[in-house]
Amino acid sequence: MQEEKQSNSLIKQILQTISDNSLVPFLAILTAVVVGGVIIAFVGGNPILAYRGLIEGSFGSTKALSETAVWATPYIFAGLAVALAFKGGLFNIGAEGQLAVGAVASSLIGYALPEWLGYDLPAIIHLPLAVLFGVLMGGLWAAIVGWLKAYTGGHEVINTIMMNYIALNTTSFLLNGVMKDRSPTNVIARTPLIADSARIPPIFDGLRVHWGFILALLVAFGIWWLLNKTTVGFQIRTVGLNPDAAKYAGINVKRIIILTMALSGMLAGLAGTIEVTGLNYRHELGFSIGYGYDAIAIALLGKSHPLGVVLSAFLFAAMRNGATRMQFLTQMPVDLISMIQAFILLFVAADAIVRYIYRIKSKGERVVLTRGWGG
Amino acid sequence: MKKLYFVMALLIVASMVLTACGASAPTAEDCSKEEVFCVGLVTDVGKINDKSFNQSAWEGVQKSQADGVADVVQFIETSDAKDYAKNIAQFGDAGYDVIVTVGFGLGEATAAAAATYPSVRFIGVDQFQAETVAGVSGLNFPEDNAGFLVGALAAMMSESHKIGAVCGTDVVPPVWRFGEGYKAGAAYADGMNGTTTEVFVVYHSDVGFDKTFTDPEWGAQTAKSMMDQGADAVFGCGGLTARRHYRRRPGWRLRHRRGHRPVPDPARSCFPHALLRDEAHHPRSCRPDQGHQRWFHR
Repeated sequence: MQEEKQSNSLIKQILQTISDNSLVPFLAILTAVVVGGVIIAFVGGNPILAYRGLIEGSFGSTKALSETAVWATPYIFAGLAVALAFKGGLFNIGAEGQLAVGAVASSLIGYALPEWLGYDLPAIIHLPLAVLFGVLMGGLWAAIVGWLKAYTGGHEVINTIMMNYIALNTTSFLLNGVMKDRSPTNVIARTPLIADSARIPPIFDGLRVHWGFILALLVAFGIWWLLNKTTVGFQIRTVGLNPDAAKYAGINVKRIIILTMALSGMLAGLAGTIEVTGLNYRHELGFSIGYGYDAIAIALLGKSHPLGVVLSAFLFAAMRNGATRMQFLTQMPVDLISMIQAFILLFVAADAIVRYIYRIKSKGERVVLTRGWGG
Repeated sequence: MKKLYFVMALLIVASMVLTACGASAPTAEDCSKEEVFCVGLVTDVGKINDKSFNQSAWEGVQKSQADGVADVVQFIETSDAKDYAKNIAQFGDAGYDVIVTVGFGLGEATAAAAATYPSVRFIGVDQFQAETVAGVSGLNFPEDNAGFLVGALAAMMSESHKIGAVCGTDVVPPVWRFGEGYKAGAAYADGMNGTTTEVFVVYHSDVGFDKTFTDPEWGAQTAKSMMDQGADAVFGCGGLTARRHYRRRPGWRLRHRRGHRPVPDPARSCFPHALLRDEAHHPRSCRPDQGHQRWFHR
């Protein structure tokens, strides 16, 4: 009797936590959609038709669902990357660069390794190699910033932005130079196609959604497990909340900072890697239109919780994917989607606005995402 | 409970506002019907109002509607290269009769879509075909002719006898044709007037394909350095890169109407050829006066 009561209250507690944490984001989305609708009407469009297009285009058919999953895959990885860094008290703006590094690295292994070796590799070796190399390079790239933070105090916000420039311009250099696809008709800065053995197969024939999507969900669960069920995860969270207390408690703060950045970079690298091996089969300059920056928004909206990240990644993916259908039906500019996303973010970040509109009392606790500039 | 009522009330009001707006929904024509002629356009990663080839192509499609050729015209702007196929399929699945894909980048996706939708006619702007693709008409233009005209005009107008051109990457054949045509045009005018004009042509080939047409800062810098060297006419050929030149300094700004995309017109395009080469190669009658005005009017 006693036990039953206890488990009941536990479930209640979990549900309570979920509803407490998702109320503000949910209302923020709702408000942004209403504001977006008013703006559509204001510029002479038809909000109902526009939103119908958006929903049809993202969930209306198997093909649409598949495309939404395709969009969601890099968003989940990159969102987790930023969220994990948030948990460790670090603001990783460099997901975009780490993503590019991962994509370049894995495409290099994907197309060049068989040439170097002189024979074809079986997929069971080649594909993991390509993915792992991309992940490692992404992690290494971010670990540099972690090291700078831990040992020199260089702020990770500045350094990740700077590393973005280095990564993106190096990518441009490589893709226009040694790694460029040399086929005579090609003028685009892109690598050759990767070998068949380095490709992630699609889940269903005829649809583009690939096993990388399932991997994204598994990784999201893995990150939740890591953060909440392991010693390392506890250390990351402790350093994120209060590095001084963490140090006092005997945690090696420097090691954890580097580790957090490396893990974050690995996840971002994985986003790039999976796009190459699962979808594009090559890396092309300009393929990633700001996944790394959208990822920050996704992590914020998901409150840095892996489940929240997955859900908000889906929301962003659905909006990006449905935008085509929306434009097709209403000829509204696709920039409108960016605007609605910006509104969502604004309302989540400045949650006082949402709390004021809907008269929600604050629970008195504040979500601390990063320790600000002085940290 | 109070806040719940408030939320519900707000929702109801919002939905009422939305339905009120929705009442005036236009009835979409069904493109799958045979008698309804529909034209869809998919842009490259870019916008429909880019003052360059996306815009020119869309204006052409709109004109087809104004002229009564097409019943329905629609466009989709691509925001990520991975959506090329999806955006084309949007029109293909809706039963459109003609799909225009704008830009070299969509070449592969267009060829693939032509195989998927054999009953649809595709028009690929700036899409060179190494092997003929069934169902796709690739549009390629004599950009060298336009470049020639601009070069000749610039050389004739220039008082310092120094002229320049700021272009996107010469890896893209049309851009290269603009630049080389420009040089040839200046040389022609020199030969005609007995002048010696110094020509600076700079291609923005030092950056990637993603940036070469969208770098107005570089364009402005390069144009400025040309003017510092005494150039008094500068030609821009490279999308946005050429868009923001030299408002700050006196000097002529020569631009064709929309980025680097001339309007194909056989009567016009034979004009510079006729000047360059033997008339016998181009037996069609040429009307040069008509050609000019379109090019330099802005």
